[in-house]
Amino acid sequence: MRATVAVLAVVAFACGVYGLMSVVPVGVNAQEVRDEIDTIIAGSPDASLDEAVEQAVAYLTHEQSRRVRFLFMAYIVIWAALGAYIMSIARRQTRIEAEIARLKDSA
Amino acid sequence: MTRSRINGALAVVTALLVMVGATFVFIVAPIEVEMREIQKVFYFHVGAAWSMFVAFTVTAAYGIVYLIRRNPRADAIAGASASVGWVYAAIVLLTGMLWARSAWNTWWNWEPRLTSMLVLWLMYAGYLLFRSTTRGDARRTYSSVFGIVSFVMVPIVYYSIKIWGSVLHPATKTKWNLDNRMYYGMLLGTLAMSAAYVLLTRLRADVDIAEQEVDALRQEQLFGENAEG
Repeated sequence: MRATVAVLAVVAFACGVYGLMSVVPVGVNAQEVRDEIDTIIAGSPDASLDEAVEQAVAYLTHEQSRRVRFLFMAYIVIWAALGAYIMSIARRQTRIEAEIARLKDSA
Repeated sequence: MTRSRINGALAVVTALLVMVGATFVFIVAPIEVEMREIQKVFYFHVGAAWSMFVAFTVTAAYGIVYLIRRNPRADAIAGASASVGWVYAAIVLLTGMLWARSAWNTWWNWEPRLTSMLVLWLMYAGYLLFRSTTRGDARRTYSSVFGIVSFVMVPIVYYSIKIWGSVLHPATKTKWNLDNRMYYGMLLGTLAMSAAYVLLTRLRADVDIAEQEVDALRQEQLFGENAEG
């Protein structure tokens, strides 16, 4: 039981960290930048191309970090819920073992 | 093969499936065009939802078995399955809310799938509360009936979008028009969550049975002492 709990805890933690780290390097899509530049220029025709590029990259990077933040939270919820459940089972198991020992002593 | 060895083997299988699934989801599966990175919640969100449906079906099935055969082990499995299913339902609700906030800019929407899902979660919360506050045959019998009645919500949640329609949430499908890498990611996520469900249900049922046995021993000892006194 304890070995099972330990294996699952380690896997959950490793996958959580692994998942978080592997998503971070995702870059901004080039087509998305082009589309966003078109939108900015259509909205304010006086803006220079440099300004539009700067605004587009800033906006897309902000949006991406927002999505990744929610993705992190979602996977943290999954591993935390499963981890907490496993810990609650382990705690009950420990309590039962103590109770059995107590009953044996008093018998 | 002893139960603990089977549980150990299941833990290893679950661990492998989680690792392979996570690799597929985060490295191999492509980023979806419209929702981008947040769509990667889908793989384990769907896996948890499927396992939750299986869990509540098992609860109802073992509830029927208990009512027919009066076998305490059937009741323990029904209770353990409902407990794991309830945790999975919470995972589905919470990851769904995070997904909705990112993709649709809203935490919650009273659309049929979300509302029926919340009702399902509350019903099984009631089931678990009932189990935690009662003992003996009454608990086994009434919670079996409770588990069977609560199962009515499972097809309602599953077919809610087909019945009432939804603007945001997609209908549950048996055939997905997905990129192969996304499809295998979903398959692995579902297998990983299912393996974890089987393992957790077995562990929880074992603990429940041990608790029932300790209760019986305690009663025996108490009545034995009283008889001697």
